[in-house]
Amino acid sequence: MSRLPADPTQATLVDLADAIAAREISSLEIVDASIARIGKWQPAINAFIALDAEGARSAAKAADAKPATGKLHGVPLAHKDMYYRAGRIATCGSKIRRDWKASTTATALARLDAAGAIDLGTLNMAEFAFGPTGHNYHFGHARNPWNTDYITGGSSSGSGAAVAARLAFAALGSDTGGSIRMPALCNGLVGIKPTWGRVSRHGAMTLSWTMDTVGPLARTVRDCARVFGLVAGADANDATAAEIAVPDYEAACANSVRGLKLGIPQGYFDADLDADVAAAWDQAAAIFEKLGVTIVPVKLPDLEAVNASGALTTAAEAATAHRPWLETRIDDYSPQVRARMVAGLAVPAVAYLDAQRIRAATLATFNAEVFDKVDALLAPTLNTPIPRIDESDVADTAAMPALLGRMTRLSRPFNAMGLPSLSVPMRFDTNGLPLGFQIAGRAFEEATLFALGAAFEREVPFHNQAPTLKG
Amino acid sequence: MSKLDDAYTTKTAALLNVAVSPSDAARMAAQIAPPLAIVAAQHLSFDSEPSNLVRNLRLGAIGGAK
Repeated sequence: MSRLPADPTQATLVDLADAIAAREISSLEIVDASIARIGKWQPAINAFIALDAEGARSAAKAADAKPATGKLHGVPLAHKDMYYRAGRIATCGSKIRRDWKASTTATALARLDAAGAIDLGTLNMAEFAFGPTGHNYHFGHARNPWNTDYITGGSSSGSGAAVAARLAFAALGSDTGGSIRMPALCNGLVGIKPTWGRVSRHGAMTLSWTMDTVGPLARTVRDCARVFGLVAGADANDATAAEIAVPDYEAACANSVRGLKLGIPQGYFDADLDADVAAAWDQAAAIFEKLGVTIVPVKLPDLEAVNASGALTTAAEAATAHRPWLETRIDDYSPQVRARMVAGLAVPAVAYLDAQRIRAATLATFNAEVFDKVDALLAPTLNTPIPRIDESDVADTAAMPALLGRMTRLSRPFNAMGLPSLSVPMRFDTNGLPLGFQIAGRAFEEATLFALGAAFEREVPFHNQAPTLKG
Repeated sequence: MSKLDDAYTTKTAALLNVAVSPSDAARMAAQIAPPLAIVAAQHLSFDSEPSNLVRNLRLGAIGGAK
């Protein structure tokens, strides 16, 4: 009997891969079903920048002609349009790179190719990955498939929208200040922001060298773990990719979490929390407790300073990377991205270096005083309800710094410390949008996060619900 | 009043060959002044080094935190 639902686009990635390997469905059948679904959803949610239907169908036929060897054999994926593929345009969501063709292929893409994945095309994103909402003035705003009046979150906006709408079975995003976790939260998905250095950044557009991380968004924890395990690991093309063994993350999803200690941060994360977000946080803690996890209130070091350090770091590094274009093509940035890019030029070198020292010192304190008491932290990802597209369209107005600061406040500290964090969905909020949380852990211990996330998901299987196309 | 003013941001950008508009300059100060003030208020150990971020990540990974 087939393990797939009547509509195979609703299957999980793992079930689909198993069904393709067992020849219960062909890669071409699922690719065609995905392309048909993209045709219906794209006008409503604008998840794709470029669909490569012909290339995907050709690759699917080739996959069907040979035995399944890789863990993603014949499975259709799509990725944020900042992962380079030799000979293909990578717009990075920008006007400046609208026609730019990459000369190399990102290590993460090459590893997914080697596992047999089919690439459906490129996904919408914030311009140069510099925005947490999902607005894009060059390619149009991505829209939330659960309610198209609302943001997808960013900067991996298309990745969130496409996977939630069942257009692709998983998607790579990138996370410099929350850009995987925010769209995972807004679209009801699982997303992993890895330890800095866990996944090669070779062939991935730079925003901020010491903050950027590469990771997948998927519908279930196990789906996410499978893709993550394939892209993680050392890379001769990226000296910052750590030579630390990659565990079996998918197997970790079956691990017992009984006896693990989960910290509830006291201070910082509980400031100015929306009532429904606070209630969800309490409910998540109660469910973990029911699973045998010990809940431990834990005092954190000063995260205001490390968050400010992360903001200065990204501002200065982004301005450095973009300085040639700021010199010659400043009018080709959209107003908000221009305003944010030039801001980094005003960061004094001493402040930048102090920011790095604060990051290092805070992480040392975190390792010594937090992770000696708990295995991971449970925290909200966003302290407000998900905003509508119109109300968060602040462009470069005076309201911009406060809104963007609020949206990244709870996610960026983990980027600044380089620590991993997994976003997990749990229920709908009072506006009918997905609501979830993040679990942050020790460096290179993503396996613990997957174990906790999977145990929670068995109790609260949010992925059994899918958005429906209105109209 | 912010210590980071429009004249400073305009001149700093010009030093780096970027010509910013008056509104750019005002936005630069508005965005950078708040985190800069927080960082400037920290009193760091003379012996702390920026490169220790990577070292501390590794320490966490090899069990130094447990």
